[in-house]
Amino acid sequence: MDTQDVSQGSSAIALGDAVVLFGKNRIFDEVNLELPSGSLLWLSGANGAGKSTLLRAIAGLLPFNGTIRIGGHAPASLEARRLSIFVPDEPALYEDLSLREHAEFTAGLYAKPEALERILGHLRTFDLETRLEEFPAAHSRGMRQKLSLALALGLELPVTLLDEPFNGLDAASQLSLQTMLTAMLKQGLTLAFSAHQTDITDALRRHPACVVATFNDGVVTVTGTGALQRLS
Amino acid sequence: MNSSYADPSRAEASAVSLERLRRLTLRRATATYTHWVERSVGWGTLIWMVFWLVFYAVAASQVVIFNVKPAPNGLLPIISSLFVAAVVAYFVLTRRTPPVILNRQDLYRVGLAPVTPARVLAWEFAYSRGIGFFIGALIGLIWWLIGFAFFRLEPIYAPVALGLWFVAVLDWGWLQYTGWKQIWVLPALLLVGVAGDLLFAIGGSSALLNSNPLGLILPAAAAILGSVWSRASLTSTYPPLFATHSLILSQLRAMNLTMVMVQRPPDPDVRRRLVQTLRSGSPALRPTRFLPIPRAAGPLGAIAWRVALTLYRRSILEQLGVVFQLAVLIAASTNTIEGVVGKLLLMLALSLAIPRLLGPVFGNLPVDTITRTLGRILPGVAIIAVLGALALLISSFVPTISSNVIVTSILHSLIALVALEKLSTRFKTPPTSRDVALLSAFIAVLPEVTLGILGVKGSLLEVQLGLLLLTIWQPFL
Repeated sequence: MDTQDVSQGSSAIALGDAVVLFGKNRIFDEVNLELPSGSLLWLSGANGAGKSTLLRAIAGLLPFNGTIRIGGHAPASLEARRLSIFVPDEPALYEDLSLREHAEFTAGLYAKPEALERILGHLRTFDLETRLEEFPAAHSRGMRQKLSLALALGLELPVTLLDEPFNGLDAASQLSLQTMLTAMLKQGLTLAFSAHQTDITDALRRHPACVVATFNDGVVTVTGTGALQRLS
Repeated sequence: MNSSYADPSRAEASAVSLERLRRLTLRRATATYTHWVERSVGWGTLIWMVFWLVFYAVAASQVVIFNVKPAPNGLLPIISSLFVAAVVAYFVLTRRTPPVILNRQDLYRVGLAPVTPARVLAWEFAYSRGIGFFIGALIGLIWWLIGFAFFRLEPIYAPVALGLWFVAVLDWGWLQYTGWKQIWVLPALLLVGVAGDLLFAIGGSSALLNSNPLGLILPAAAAILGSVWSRASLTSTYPPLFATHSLILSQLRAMNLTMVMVQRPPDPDVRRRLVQTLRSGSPALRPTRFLPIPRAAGPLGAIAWRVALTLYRRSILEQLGVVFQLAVLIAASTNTIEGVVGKLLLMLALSLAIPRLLGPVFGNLPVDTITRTLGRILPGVAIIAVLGALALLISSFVPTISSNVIVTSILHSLIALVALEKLSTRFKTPPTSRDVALLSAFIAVLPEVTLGILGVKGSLLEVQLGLLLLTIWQPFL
């Protein structure tokens, strides 16, 4: 765990008048938000409201106006990439690497050899232990999603961004994922995710560190006690 | 930041892991391609093809060398110098997209990892530079032969020089994309090159004209400086739109690869939308042109509306292109070029123009085949009818063009349109697919060719009409 990597005095995630533009189209109004370490940011809203867009902007995949900081660093900077990981809604996996090779590669890439055991542990929790030597191309959407999540969560980086992490998972795996996320929050790690499944995420929503950002007609309303918020 | 990641050994471990992935992927991809060549083409066929390729290349070079002509030396240095400078400047300074990209997997898994962009893109740059140098060298080799044969030149360093220029274009193109402040150095280098060519014959293009190795200095300098600076531009972050551009370009690349592998053109509408997003930075969120759906016309009207809407929503330039191609088609039918060549040109014109009138590919529709066919061809028939009527009107003022010829031409287009609709549906392939387009065009010209061979051209219109009706109402497709 590298919570110490977030600069002292810096928020894990900070947004100041953050707006994403597609050409001339503004996806949502300015978002202002500061999340201390150990917070949970739940992005809620209808399809196409801009949840994934905001997550992508935080991850450094989209240009934006305003300010976004991860641990005090600009998104997509080397420092921010050291502190965070982004899991897209559609798993991005190498079709020519087995599940075990994915785990080894990810642990090696982030220079965290200790993460390998955690990733394999998550894969065991997701019932993929017997399939470690298989290619993900042969697996279902849900199994690929499990691998994608296990790789990210096993790293235990200070900031984890998850786009629709519950999609495609069976009921048991959704509960397992909820348990994993709660455990990460206990360790002081920061999570941000988008989700529609209110019944599943209800327990997470009641977490004292949870902040809900609701996207509605381009307006983002932030509620919750875990954040130092400055409402737009 | 008190970062444990600042430890150089951890950074090195990340890079080692990345290099291991690249080696592993390359090894497995090579094994897959080797297996594919073995199963689909066969080594014997491949060796046979390479043998004949070399054979013809050698034979062509011998033919070229024997046709020696005097060299126009006076203008050549000026032309080549300005040409090289203009081409390099154009390809670099107009670049708006990255010359190297990351595919989706690499973008999410490696592009967002704590590894410097230079390391992440090292393979892509090395590969692109290698390919660029190879293509440049190949063109240089061809120029060497041409220069030797036609202009009495001995540009023995032309392959190396052009290879280096191709590498330079890649790296400077990247710098232009990133908004590198020192991009002005390239035009300055090119100006120095033009001056060097004209004054001392050791500038940017001198290696294309003489055998002086000093002619390599400028292209080498441009390539080295470009590669050093492009590496320097990748120490921490990627350019702001790199992720978006990478995702779109990798989709386009995948579509092109699919086209090569399965010999089918990609869906032109999907492709156009991707290119539009790439150029404007904004996806097309809503359409700008509308056609009311004819609700009372049932499935036939709905299918015709779907096709007409696709044709209508194409850009004005594309629509004008279709009209132009149909006009060329009608002109080509006036028997200006007689015989087999004329018929082949007519077939080609048909295969290029007609597929653009059919709109999108339909899957299995819950309608009978006649409704489907009539619905799909209706907008195309309307366009052909309007253009045909216009051509008939024009022909009434031009005594040399018979109205019969125009009617024949209209029937060519209609037969090709119906045949293409049937064949593309039967083979589940887009109408723009070359094989079905050519086959449809062949069916369209078949009556004229057959009657020409039999020497009974008088009944062409009747036979064409018969074929058209048969194609529409045949019971199989």
